[in-house]
Amino acid sequence: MTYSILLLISAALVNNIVLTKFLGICSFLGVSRKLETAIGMSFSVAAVIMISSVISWIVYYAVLIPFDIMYLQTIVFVFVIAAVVQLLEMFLEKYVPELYSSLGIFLPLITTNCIILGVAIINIKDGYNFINMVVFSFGTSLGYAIAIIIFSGLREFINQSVISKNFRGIPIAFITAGILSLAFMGFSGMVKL
Amino acid sequence: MMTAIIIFGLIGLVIGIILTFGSSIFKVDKDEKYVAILEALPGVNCGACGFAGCAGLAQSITIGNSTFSGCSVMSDDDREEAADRFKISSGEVATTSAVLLCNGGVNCLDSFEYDGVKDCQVIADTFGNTKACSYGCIGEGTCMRACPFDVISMGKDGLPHIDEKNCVSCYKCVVACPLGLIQIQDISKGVTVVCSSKDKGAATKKVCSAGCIGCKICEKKCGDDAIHVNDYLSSVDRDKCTDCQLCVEPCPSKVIFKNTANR
Repeated sequence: MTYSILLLISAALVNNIVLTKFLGICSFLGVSRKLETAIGMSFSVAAVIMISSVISWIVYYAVLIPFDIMYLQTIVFVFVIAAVVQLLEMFLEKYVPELYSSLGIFLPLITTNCIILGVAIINIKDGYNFINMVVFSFGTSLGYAIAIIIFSGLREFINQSVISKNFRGIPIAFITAGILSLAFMGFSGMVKL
Repeated sequence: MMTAIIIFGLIGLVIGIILTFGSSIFKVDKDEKYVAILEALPGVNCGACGFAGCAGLAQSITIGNSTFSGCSVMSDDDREEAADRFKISSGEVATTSAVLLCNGGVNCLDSFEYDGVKDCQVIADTFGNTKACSYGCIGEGTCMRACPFDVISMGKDGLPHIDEKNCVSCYKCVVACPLGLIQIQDISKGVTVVCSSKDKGAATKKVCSAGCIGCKICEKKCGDDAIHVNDYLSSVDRDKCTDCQLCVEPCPSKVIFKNTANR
């Protein structure tokens, strides 16, 4: 139990997937221009992470290990993730069309978001059991949400401030992300697993 | 090896079956009219209509907020035909085009020889301008590359030439020009002052033989109070201009041009 709680804190803050492991930078920079879309994006990424890591964990232990074909891990996981994203896209188009149209092209692009595959692979590499795997996936999506929501708030603020012409847009976003990442480094050593 | 192929194939099969069922469960019934209208639109997603893409305009036409006149890419015949087919009015279309507000090019002196990246934006960000006139067209063709419809070509005179007949006013070149020299204007009537220099007359004349020197001759010739010189640059009040073109001939540096829909 204590391990699971520590794992959650570790995944969300100490080893934040975006700011200390530097995965998923593309969507982190691409969808963070507005707070609203950032929130929508973090919800859909969370949904995809949860569903796909559960399915890929089951596939790994129920199919790949018994048949001794663990080397197929990457390609099978990519396969599973693509299918989950497809299903999620259909689901959203039918039941939440507002979110579907506001996410636009970023929804299918979640397929290629390295966080999703990263979490699925870390789950296997670190040998989590089912509960810890779910906790870790949840912690990671929470960490992604924290990072992208803070960042989009900062970017909205930056857009209204006076910035030297050469730094406007993406350059200042990268600098901000770097400083934010340094801030998150302050959590390191807080949890020992 | 064989097991890997079989297992992988099976996983693929299962996922395929799930997706097939999923697509029939989550099927969205799209409005047939919307789909037909979207097909009738050009599909270049240029954004000239003000929507994010053709889908946005199609949506708006479907619910009756817009007409096909919102699309400046379609030819008049196509627009008529589409409007006929969906039994809605085709709407009024304004004849607008991108217009370059500089007649410098070879008429304007260079302030130095430039041998770097051939892009106006780069030059504007680093050196300001290679032309001696800080308002002059740099002439490296950033607008030409921004144009999705290939209506801008670079002429021998060092200026971009806009094919006004085929320009769809999508504003891509307006945004691309680092000096803001391109504007979208109604080209069906009136006159345009093809210069953007706000330098004093003598300073303009020193570097460019085709720049507005702010002599106010046009102002005196105009009987309708429609053309005025502010900051040493003549500008036309489009509401007052009566298309008489009395100002075109007397202009000493010939910067006033008559607007015709196919110039």
